[in-house]
Amino acid sequence: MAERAAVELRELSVRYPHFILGPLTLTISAGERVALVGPNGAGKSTTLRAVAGLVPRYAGSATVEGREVRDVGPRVRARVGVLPERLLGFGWITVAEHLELLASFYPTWDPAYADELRTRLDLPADTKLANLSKGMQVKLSLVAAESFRPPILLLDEPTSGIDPVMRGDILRLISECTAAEEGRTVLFSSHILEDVEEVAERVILLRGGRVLGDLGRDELRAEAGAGTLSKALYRRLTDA
Amino acid sequence: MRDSALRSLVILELRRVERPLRRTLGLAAGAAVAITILGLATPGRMAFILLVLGMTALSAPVMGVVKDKLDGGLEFLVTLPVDRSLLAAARLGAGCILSVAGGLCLSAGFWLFARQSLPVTPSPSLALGVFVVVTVGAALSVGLGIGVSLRMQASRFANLLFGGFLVALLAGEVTRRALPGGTTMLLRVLAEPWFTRALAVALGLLVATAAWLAHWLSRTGLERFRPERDEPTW
Repeated sequence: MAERAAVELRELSVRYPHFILGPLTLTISAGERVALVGPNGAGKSTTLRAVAGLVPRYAGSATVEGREVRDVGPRVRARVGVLPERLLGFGWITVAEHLELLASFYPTWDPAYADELRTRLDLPADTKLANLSKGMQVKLSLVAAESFRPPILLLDEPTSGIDPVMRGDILRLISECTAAEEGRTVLFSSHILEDVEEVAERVILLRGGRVLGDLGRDELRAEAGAGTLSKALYRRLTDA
Repeated sequence: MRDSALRSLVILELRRVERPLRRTLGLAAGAAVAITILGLATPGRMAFILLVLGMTALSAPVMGVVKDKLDGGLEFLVTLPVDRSLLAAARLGAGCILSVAGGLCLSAGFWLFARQSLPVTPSPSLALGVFVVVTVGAALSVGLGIGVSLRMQASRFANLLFGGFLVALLAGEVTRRALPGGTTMLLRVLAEPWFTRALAVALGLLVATAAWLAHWLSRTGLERFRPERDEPTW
């Protein structure tokens, strides 16, 4: 029996004035942890934005759990948790208010779970968003994306510009979130190859808006030989 | 869920501009008290203060929209799983509520200005008419601010300030100089009872237009809500 697709892109293409993504064709099964890897400007963020329904117009098809994103509109975001490149919110509200505000928009939001995650990640409830450090902002975005337990998590550069301790916290939480419930899909972008090695079981290499390669962990291991997976990934990206 | 989302959005909109609005009103109230205590208060000066204050207060929601766009607040709103019509409704509703203070100041300033400048006593409903028109106009301005570009919003704000400056200048000047014939005639017309009726009809048309604009905005206008860099070419 064919595995259920969590995300399916068919000839997806998004055109910006200075960049064209695609056409991309990808299928991500439910429960997979997939990394989008590539240099800056490869199209990682645009791909994630298209899946989250944040790209107003695209050609081809992008489906989430079998539904076309352009047809379901903003409702798709009740099924996908998004961690954007930078924290989105109002700088003048506090962390607690930000989470409270989000709770009113998601039918499956779990306030107790949100509070548990916030406490675990040492996020101060009374600090205004404008006063949070980069690491704290990522942590808050992760709490916001996870607190309604979406079946699909889209994480855009979750560890970029973060110190090693916070990075460890964040990666651990991502692994735990997906391990706790079966069938949860994670699609994340990164250019930190060590993070990819730690979290992903499948790697999609992007460059200039096109897919360079789509590799499973075993294939990467075989390719790496005695070296690390990171080195094998780096070689793939630079050889192309 | 839809009700709680709408309530949250309206509260958010109110809070968004509440602080600059409160600061503006506090400053102006302080100035008015100081002028009164120093014995400098004349109807002309009070009208001047009220008109400037009203224009400033009405500009606060518009500036809030601009600031949000710069800070990424608008980008955040479009990432929420809600229909854009709900966002438009919240902005228009909150815009109406926020425009009340500015509208009150402007209509009171206009009333004072007209009372001392006119050769006849103006109809009281004139002030009410001015208040309603100003409030609805400002709310529409904020609501439409969602769909237009940053440059347009900035120019709208500049126009608003310029208009306020001109009105205030006129109010200040009128208290010192004799009114020219044309202005006296215009003010006399404004004070006529039939003018209020005409104003009511105009207001009806304005509300109908607002309803149509809100409908249009919810269907297409909010596409332009995103930052320019995220606009694909198809």
